[in-house]
Amino acid sequence: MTEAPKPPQEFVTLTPEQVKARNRRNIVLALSIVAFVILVFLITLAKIKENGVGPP
Amino acid sequence: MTIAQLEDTRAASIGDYVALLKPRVMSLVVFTGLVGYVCAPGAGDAVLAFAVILAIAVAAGASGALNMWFDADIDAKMKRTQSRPIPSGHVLPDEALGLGLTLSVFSVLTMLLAAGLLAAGLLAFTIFFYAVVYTMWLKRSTPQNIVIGGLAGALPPAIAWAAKTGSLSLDPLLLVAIIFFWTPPHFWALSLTQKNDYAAAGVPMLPVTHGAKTTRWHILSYAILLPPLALAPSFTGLGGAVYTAVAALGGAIFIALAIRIAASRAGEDLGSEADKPARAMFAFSIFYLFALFAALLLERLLP
Repeated sequence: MTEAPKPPQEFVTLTPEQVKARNRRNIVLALSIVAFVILVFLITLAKIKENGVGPP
Repeated sequence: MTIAQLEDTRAASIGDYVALLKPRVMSLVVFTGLVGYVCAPGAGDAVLAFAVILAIAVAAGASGALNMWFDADIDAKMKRTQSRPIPSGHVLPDEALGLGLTLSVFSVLTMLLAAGLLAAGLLAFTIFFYAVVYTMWLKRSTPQNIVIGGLAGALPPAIAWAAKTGSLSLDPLLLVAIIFFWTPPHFWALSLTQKNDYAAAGVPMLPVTHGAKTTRWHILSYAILLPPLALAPSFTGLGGAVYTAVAALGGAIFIALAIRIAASRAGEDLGSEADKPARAMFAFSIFYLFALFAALLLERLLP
């Protein structure tokens, strides 16, 4: 027995302008994530400086 | 939204997402939060201070995005807000909701990491109060919406204070009270000139539900209460001579402008000269609050 063929899936066709905007959004998102990682690292260093290493 | 509609949508720019965060509101919140942090006792660490102010700014932005997501129907009906990213079709409502929720979580986590449970709890409460209590409930149900909802905008100095010291005292609560009592006359002055817009959108602002005259007298009542409250930090030691002078002079002008409104016909004939006192009050109220907090900052930063 053969499987019923799947209906063709509909996709959005992005204009060059939309692709550019999506790329820009992705870059900003990536930079934000990197900035957050750096911020957490710096907060950790500041906390270690304030409280020392070990249980509070 | 259909595929055809999606293909028609103009690609959202970074500016559209920034607009979702209400940068003008954010700047005021950042400023009052910064003053709260600087005025709190203790040396403080520059990195932690930066993280705290950033968390407050991002939380304010997240609240703005959640507000625009929920209020898109109202925004579409009002001239002042029609060009916002959602009603103008540049950003999808779900994107605004996603951005708001994500930034809320990140801001509270950052605050928790940098400053502990009290500050993070207060920050989470502020987001909840603005997005749920004010936006979803009060705004559409009572003319006291901006009075009670104003608490969300008033809390940042206390959050910053709690972040630096781990506790709260009378001084940060006075700063909260000043912003809390400043909010009604500030927004009512604006709403007097935009009464028809609010009425068309079905928002029960005071001028819509109780008329312009009642609103003018309410503005005067709050304007009389605010200056003595603004002078209170001079008695607790939080404010010095510069602050006292700014609070006294600014307070006198604030009351004078409110008397001018009460005696005027502002809000009766929209767009006419009669609205001038309301516009003057709105503009001066921003300057007055900024001057009060700038004076506190100046007294801490200058030797």
